[in-house]
Amino acid sequence: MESIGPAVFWTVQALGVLLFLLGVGAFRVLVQGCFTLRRRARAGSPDYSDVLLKSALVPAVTTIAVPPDALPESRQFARRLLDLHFGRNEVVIVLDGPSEAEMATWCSEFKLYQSARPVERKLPTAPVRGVYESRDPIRIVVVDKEPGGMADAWNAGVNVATSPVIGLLDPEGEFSPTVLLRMIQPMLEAFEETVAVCGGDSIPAAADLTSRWGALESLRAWMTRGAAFASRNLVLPIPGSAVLARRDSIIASGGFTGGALELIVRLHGHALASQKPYRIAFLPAPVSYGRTPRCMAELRHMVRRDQRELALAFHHRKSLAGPFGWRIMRELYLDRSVRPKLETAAYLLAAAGLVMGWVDWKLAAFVLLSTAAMGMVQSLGAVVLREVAQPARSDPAQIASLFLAAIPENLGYRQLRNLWLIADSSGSAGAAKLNRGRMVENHPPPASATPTKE
Amino acid sequence: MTGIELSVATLLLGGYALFFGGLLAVLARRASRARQQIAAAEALVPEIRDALVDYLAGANDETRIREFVRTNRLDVGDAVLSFQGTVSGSARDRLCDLALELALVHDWGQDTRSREPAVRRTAYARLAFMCAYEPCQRVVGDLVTRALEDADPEVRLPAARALVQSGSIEEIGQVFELAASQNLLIRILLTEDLRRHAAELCANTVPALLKSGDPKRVLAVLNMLVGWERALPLAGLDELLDDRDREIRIAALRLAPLVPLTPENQRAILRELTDSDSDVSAAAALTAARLRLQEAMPSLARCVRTGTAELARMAASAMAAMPPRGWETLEELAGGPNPAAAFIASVALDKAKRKAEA
Repeated sequence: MESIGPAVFWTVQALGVLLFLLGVGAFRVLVQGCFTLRRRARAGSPDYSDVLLKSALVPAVTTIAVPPDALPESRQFARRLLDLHFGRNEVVIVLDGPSEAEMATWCSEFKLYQSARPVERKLPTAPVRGVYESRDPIRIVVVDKEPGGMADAWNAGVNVATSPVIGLLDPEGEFSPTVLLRMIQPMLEAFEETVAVCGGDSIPAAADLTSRWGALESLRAWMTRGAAFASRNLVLPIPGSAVLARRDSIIASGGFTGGALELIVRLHGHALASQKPYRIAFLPAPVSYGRTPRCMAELRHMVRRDQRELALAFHHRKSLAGPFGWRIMRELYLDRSVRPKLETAAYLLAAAGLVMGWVDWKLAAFVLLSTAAMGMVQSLGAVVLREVAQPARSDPAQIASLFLAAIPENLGYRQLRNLWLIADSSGSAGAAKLNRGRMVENHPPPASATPTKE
Repeated sequence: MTGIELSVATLLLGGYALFFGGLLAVLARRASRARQQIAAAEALVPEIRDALVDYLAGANDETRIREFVRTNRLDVGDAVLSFQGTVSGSARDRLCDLALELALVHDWGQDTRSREPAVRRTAYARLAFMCAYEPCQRVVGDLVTRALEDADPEVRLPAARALVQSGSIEEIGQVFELAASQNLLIRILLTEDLRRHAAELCANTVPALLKSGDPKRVLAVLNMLVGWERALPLAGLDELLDDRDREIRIAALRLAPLVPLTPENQRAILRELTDSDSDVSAAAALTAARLRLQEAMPSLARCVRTGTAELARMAASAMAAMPPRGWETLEELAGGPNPAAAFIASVALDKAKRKAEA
């Protein structure tokens, strides 16, 4: 019994130091993101959308969507994709085992007829039952396939697509009609090398505290996974961001196994394994962003969705990116999986230690500094560093309100969020995923592995 | 031990928090000032534009404009540039003359030496507009021509655009050559600018580049020509239609409907319809449809019967675009014994008939 007190004391102290160091590491990444954004802002990035819209030389883009049902929201999303401003944009809607009623709804919505369009089997998927095109002068292709899960449906979309570039937009996000025109630009700057482009902005804040916490969360992710990782060519998409990826790269890397995040991890892994120069570009522009959470339930949903994707990507890092998986996911794993667990353990031990007299107030204060105060500095830093990097973006009152929201964020919400992150970081996906077994090895795929047309 | 850790952490975090607080105050002030400036400029720019419009309309009183230049030099520069694409001929010359007289052109010349890439790019973009006026060209000298070799592609671009606007045909040819060797974005942007010089370029520069023997360059040139989407007086395409490189053959097939249809070209297109590469055959089918090549009908029918699914679909679409003979052939194929060919033919025929009715 006597040895428990010192053991708790030293454990709390070690946890405090470790959390402080993790916080410093995360803060360093934010500063790195600021420098990247600043460099980009200085270099400037002219918008050539007008010319790109008219040119026949711009590669065609196929935007793929996998609606889960035929509800008006899903059909509205398909309409929004058709309304995108782009010279040659084709929309592929993949219906994963729709019921007869759902199929009929889609057929009447877009006046579909059965098409003779062939489906290549470049990626393995559940059988395709039929391909439909519209009698209206709109470029939409609807694929009716046997149920096989989301990843399987995405792969079917890639098989049906005829364009060299695939576009992925978040149905739970907002995007501007010019998103494809803006996103294609970094790809055109180095078409051979650019495997994919992730673009978007952090969530805009509204007046209430919940939305500001959501905005801060999104801002930190945007500056880390987008801006900071861009300087190391390890960009990963954040919720609400848009992704353009080259079709041949998707196929060569083995296709989808999950959402956009897993795809980008896979593309990184495959490109690193092939040992050829490549880049996954980042476009820090307000062309696409997540929806602002208006209540705690929406904030919870936002955190859960992101954490589950990250947990799955980390859990399957070896099959996604082979030996490069840890390198790509390391920092996110430490921040989103290790830190919440350590932090919660530190709080519990420090609270118990204080009650039992094993931990003095100084150590408890140190734990609070390493966690809550460090979190505040990170959030305050993210707000200020963004303004340093991209000056005069928002009005001073908005910046100040976001700045001040960092204080309550770390005194209550942070601790609750830790519990959410722990609960969602198990990485157990309900749905069966395809292609999990395909490993990325540290050598380029043999020529014989190149898929052939059916 | 804990006391030391606590002190260090408090000092560090407190310091950071104070630093960020201070920085926020500075940024907020700067942002507020910038917003005020933007608001002031927004109010002023219409007035500057009004004064410039009056001047371009023939008013010779420069007092107001000179006053604006004295108080808001940068805004006047922006206002002058805002006329880019909206004025031409004598009005543009008058505007350029004014910019020269007000020493704005000299300012922009100085800006080309800036260390800030954004400032340099803006300066070159402005000079590119001014170079349409001969006296401005003399002031700018070979600044723009030298910029074609700049390390920054965003500087090379406005320089090339300036030459397209005001250069001789040799200089425009030089820009075309440059465009063929640049990244796809610059190539696309310059292709649009070079479109109006298509005929002159097809006389000299293009044939020389197509004979360069560099497959990458030849492909880039062919794609640029396709990108012009206009009739071109280009001879000798049949050599490229028979090229060893499949990408070049496909690009040449896409270009074929835009150049005069010679017997050599026609024979080459018909040959490509039987190419072992189905992508080449599909491109040939598309070209045959665009040119309404009735001679291609037997080969197209064979593609529907024996080709890959995509090739069969393209060939059927090509026949559907050539009524009545194409429709008759499709009807025969739709009633034929090959179920895949029959389905493809009937879908293509149905689509074509619906289109014709509409």
